[in-house]
Amino acid sequence: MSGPFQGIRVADFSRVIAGPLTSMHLADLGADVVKIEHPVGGDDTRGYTPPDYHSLSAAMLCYNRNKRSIALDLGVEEGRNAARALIDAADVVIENFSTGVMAKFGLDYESVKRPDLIYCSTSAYGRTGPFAKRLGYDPVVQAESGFMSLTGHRHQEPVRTAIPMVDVSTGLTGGVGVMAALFHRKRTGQGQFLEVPLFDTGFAQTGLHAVGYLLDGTVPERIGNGDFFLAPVGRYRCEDGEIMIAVDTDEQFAALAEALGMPAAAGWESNAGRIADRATLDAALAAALAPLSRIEILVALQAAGVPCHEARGIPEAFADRAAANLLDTIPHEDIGEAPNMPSPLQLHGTPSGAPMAAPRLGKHGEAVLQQWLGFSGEQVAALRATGAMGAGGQAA
Amino acid sequence: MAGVLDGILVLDLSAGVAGPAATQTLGDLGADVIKVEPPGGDPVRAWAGPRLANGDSAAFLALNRNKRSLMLELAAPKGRAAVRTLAARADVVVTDSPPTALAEHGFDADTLHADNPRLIHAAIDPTLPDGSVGRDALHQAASGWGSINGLEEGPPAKSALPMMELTAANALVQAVLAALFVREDRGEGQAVSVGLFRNALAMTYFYGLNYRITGTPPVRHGNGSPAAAPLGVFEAADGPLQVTLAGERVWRKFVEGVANRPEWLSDPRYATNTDRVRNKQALLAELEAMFRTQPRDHWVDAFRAAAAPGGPIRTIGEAVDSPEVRERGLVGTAPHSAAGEVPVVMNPIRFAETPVRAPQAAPLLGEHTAAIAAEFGLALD
Repeated sequence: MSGPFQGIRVADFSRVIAGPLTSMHLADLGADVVKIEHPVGGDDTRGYTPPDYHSLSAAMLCYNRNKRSIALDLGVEEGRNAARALIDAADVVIENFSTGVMAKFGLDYESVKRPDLIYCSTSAYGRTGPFAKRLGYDPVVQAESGFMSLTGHRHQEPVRTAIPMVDVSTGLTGGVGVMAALFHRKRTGQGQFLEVPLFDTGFAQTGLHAVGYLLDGTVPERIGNGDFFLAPVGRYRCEDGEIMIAVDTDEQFAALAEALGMPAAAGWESNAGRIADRATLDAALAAALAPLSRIEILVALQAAGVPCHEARGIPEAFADRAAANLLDTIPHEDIGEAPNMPSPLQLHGTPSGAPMAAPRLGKHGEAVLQQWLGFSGEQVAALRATGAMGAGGQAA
Repeated sequence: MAGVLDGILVLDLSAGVAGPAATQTLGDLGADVIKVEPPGGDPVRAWAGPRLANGDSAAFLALNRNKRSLMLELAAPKGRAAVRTLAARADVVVTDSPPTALAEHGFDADTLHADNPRLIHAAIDPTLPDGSVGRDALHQAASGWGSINGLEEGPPAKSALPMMELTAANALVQAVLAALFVREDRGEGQAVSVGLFRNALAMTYFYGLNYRITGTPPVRHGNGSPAAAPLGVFEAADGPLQVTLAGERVWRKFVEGVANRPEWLSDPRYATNTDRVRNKQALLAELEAMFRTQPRDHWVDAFRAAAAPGGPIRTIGEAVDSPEVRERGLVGTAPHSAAGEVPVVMNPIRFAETPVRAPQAAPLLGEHTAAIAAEFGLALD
């Protein structure tokens, strides 16, 4: 791989989503990420089947592109020794075990630290303090952090996001943290320990509302497909489907009302007035849109400068040419190729090389031991003979 | 202790959510962020909801700490010239206009790089698949991401938080940091970008990939799951609980430590996850009846003691006032030029050596115009 982090070695002990997303973004940007997995089953997401693509789960493919895999049993001394040697050869360590697990293996920061090592711990509620031992689950953190209370329809139960967005936000924030630490090390030579807790990150996502509550005690009520801050915003049924409208300004609302020939009530000229009268406004807009087709609405509203788009399910969205161009397939070492979801970020001056789909469990054990640690073939065989290292390239 | 980005100058031409969220993080990391605003200010200042006496919204406060505000009329040549002067000195410029609008103003990467080859031009691209422009809600709609949230039997519910823009902000910060890292060796900046639509597609992750693998359109599962039981929302005597018992290990912990119904372990209807999914109706009915008998705190304590995944579904107020937020210091106050101390939600990253900056509250509109003009020799009037 080329890319900005070419030559940076990452020993990645993380599993499931948050940690693996952090390390995948490093891998996308050229880092040599070695995923250290248990020889039996590996990362839990390998078992998130059916469905599967040649026995690789969608979650495995989503969060493990451009990584290599070594299967090591950390419950065995030889496995721990090999893991420690990989850390000693790495620039960055990433882990998201429960608090105490890395310490039990002798692989926690205090045990392995050196001045230039970057060690990122993705914890649930912090590695220290009264909640350190509590386990972290995305749906529970969505609930406890207030995040979940905001999504869903009024007078119905709250609903979590289908994609585990606390895990995802934590993984992305972890990437910010590690890349910041890499930049600091580049300038000063100094590594460091950093921590990105699930709960803290989930709560931080609610800042738009947490700050408001702290100002005047406002507790927002669920708002369906609307918006807390602007009106009208919504998903409206029309003759042949659904349309999403998201008005940002008073001028756009005036243009919307005129384009639809919709009589505007007193007060609707300001966002505050529209928010105060949201239910009536929503009903009027729904009535005006119902008899029209999506294309009629799009043509009329886009000509008037009103932000809107077809509200699509995934099949329709993915069939759009703009989406299809981004939803590529990428090479896989064992199965030819695999479907890929795009990386959200692009560096136009230092593009990364050809991507590689998520590895089979233990596929690269021998190569990693040779390249990172200078192991001979005999040493690899000796480690394998202890039972601490799994065979390479198992179909799971 | 110094911040990671001490001495890095960021020129922020963005407004709304994604760009400001990104530059706020850069400010937290120590960068000097100059927020350029038109005479009417970033529109988020006027968004509805709680606000300061001077009119600035809570949402604006939440997205703009650790920045200075420079008011410029970009429609006027002097305003555009000031941007060019600042961009010639900046390390990073952040934009959120569509590419054509950037080029019209001369704020595109090629033009700005001509004056400053070390510049990192970081763009949020708001373009939708049909070429129009939109923010979070429209990208949820266009990508299909917004269609997969919601109760099984009801309509979709978009994420009420602008997660397409907040995730794009993190991705843009990553791109900036990677470009700063590689600039140390190359000596040159570059253009980096995050497309809001590209990001929204990426965010469909395994829902999107499962569809591509199987061709079966995804369906909404609300708070449950087709593959595991019991999962979902349950009402305790005084409030809702989130329960996520996917798998045998946590089911056993729950039965023994929370429900205290050991007979369920030998009940053939509930023997395995497959059995529980098959007999979900009966199981959920039993659980609903059970949870109603005790207050929420009783169940929450039991879940934690048993290390089983369940917890309270908190309102924003309950979350802010929770022991976790208090003990972990996740809210605080920051000095504000017109309102004394105002609340802030802290950046979640904990660096041992380069802590995020102590927050300075969001600036007043144009608060630092004169100081920045003097510092950079801008001719504004």
